Amino acid sequence: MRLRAHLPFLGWGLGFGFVLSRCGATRFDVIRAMFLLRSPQLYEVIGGAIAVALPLFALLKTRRGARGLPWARRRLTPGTLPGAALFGVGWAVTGTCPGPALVQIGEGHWVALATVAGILAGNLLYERAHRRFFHWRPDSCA
Amino acid sequence: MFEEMVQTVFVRQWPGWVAGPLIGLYAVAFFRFARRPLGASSSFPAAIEAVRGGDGLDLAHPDDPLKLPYDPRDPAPRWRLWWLAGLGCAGLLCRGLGAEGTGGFLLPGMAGAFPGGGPWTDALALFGGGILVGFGTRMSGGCTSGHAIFGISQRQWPSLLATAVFFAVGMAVTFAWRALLP
Repeated sequence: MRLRAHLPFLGWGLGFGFVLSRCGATRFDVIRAMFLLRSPQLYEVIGGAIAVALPLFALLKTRRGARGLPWARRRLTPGTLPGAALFGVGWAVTGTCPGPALVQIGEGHWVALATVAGILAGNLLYERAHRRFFHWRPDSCA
Repeated sequence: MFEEMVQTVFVRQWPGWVAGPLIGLYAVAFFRFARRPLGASSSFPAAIEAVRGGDGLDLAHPDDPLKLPYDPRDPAPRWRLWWLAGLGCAGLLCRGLGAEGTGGFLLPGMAGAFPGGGPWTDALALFGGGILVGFGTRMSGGCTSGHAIFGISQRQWPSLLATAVFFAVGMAVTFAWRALLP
C-alpha cells in the first residue's frame, strides 16, 4: 500500500517545517538581519545543526548497519558554484530558501505563493537550459 | 506556569542554539531511519515529475543514489510530495497555535522592502526571486538544507564551496540593496 509508505514523510515534513517556522527561518526580517550581520539567530541555527550532525554522521558511518544507507559523494560540476550564486541572489530578494517557502504559505502569507510559483518556473527553465546549453552530467540534487 | 510554557514553545521565536541542534539531529535521524538525504530544493523537480507522471529527477545520472529504489514499493520519489505537504501543514499548525509572525499577506518585516510598495509589485518581486532560487538550486544541486546542513555535515567539499558562495552573494546583494534603497 503506497499510502503507508508515504504517510510517514508527511510527519517528517511537519517536524522540519515546525522547527523552521519557530526559529524564524520563514521570516523576511530574520533572513535580512542574517545577511546584514545584525543577528546571530540563523547562524546559530545552521552552525548548531552542523555542529551536531557532523560528528553524528561520522559516528554513523562507522556502524555496520550504515552500509545500506544512501551515502552520496557530491561532485563539483560546472553548475555548482554559478548555481549557488544565482540562488544567493534569489535568497536575498525573496528572503526565502526552498524549504521555508511552503511553510510560509501554511502560515497564511499568501504572497509566498508567488515565491513557490517562481521556484517551480525556475526548475522548468533550468531543465530546458540544461538540455540546450549545458553539457555536463548533473550532480545528484539534495 | 503552563501558560508560560505554551508561549515559549508555540508562540515566541526559539533561540537559535535550541533550533539548530534539533535540525542537526533531524538531518541524521531522517537519513538513518527514513533512509533519505535531507534537501528541500530537490522536492520541487520531484513535484514537477509527479505531475508529469514520470519517475522524477530525470536529469539525475543512473548512478545517482536518488534514483535507486530505496523502497521497492515506492520507486518514484513521490515521498517528496508528502514531505512538502508536511512543510505546508507545519505552517498551518503554527498559525493555528497563534505563533508570532504568522498571518498577513506579506512576510513579516517585508513591508516597504520593494519600491512601488503594492501587493502586486511585492508578489512580482518574489516571483522573480523565486525563479532565481529554483534555477540556482537546481543548477547547484542543493540549497540551505541540502548543501549547508546535509552536505557540510557529511564533509562534502562541493557543498561547503556552494554554501560559501550563496552566503557571500546573499550578503552582497542585501548590503547593496540597503545602500541603494534606503
